[in-house]
Amino acid sequence: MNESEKDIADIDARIKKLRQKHKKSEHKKSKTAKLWENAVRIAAEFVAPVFVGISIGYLLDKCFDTRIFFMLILAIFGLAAGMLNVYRAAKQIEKDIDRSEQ
Amino acid sequence: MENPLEQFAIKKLFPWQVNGVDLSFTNSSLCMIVTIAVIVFSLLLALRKSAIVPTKGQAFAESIYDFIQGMIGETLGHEGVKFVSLIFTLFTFIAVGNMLGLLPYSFTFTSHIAAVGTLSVFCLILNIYFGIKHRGLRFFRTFFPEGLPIFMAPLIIPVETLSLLAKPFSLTIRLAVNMSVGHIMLEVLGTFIMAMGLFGFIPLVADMCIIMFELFVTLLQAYIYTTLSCVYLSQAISDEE
Repeated sequence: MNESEKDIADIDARIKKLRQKHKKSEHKKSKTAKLWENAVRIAAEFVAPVFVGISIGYLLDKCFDTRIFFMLILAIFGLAAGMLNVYRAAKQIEKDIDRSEQ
Repeated sequence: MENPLEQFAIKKLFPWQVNGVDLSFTNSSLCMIVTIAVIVFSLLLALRKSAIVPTKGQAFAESIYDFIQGMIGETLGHEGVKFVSLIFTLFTFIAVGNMLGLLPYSFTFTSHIAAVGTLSVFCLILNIYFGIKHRGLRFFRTFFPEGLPIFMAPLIIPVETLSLLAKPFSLTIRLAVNMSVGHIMLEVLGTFIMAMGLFGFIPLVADMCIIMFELFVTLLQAYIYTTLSCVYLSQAISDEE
């Protein structure tokens, strides 16, 4: 192996080392961002359908002059939808964790 | 003490009424145009001399693009390639809009439910469009998954419909509330700087720390908004129940 080939091999080894270091720090950063995302996501996933249900119920009650009938019914449906959303989000997070561990 | 909510007031710059509909050009519209101008101008500047060995500007622009591409790859897989430009636009618009809102005398349009809500409803319409395009009429199976007994329909269909309609709402509330709260905190602490006289440096340091944190939050919220848009899109186009 002459001098220039040695230099190229040396540069290759250094690039590989830097790439590995970069990959590790990137993985750490994306893991933190994912944790933040999951924490913020779950709460909103639960609350949002309840709010939407109550809002639609309020409008329907106003339209049909039915006091709080639709609001109550749609709030219950919203609660169920919120629980379903949280379950789905948790399943998605579990899938993501499994994929990142592989 | 100044009202900390005053910073979110919409001011009409050019009032314009068409058949009773208010189409005025407001400070929010101006900030959106400035945001688009900043994105387009900085990307043009960064990519004006594209080369194999990139300049710092080109490397920065490409790293944002790579980041978006990676994010889409994780959630949408190969199917997601055609959505890269859409998600890239969404991410840069929200991130730059959030960051410009931190500048003194500017306006944070992302703290307004009307502005973010329009984007979220647009995402929902796209989800439905691509869902129907990819899966045909099977898309409507989302509202009543296969294998369920028919008597469950009156319970499941409203629940699934609410779950779908809540998606833009949760996207909107998360971003708008996060941006509003941060700005209110900055404003409240800002008024204490002058009021506390000699000890004004204490809220000043706190304000500086919050600005750094807000800078992180602006990017994080843009990231969360776009990731969740991708997740919702993948749910709409995938056949998994």
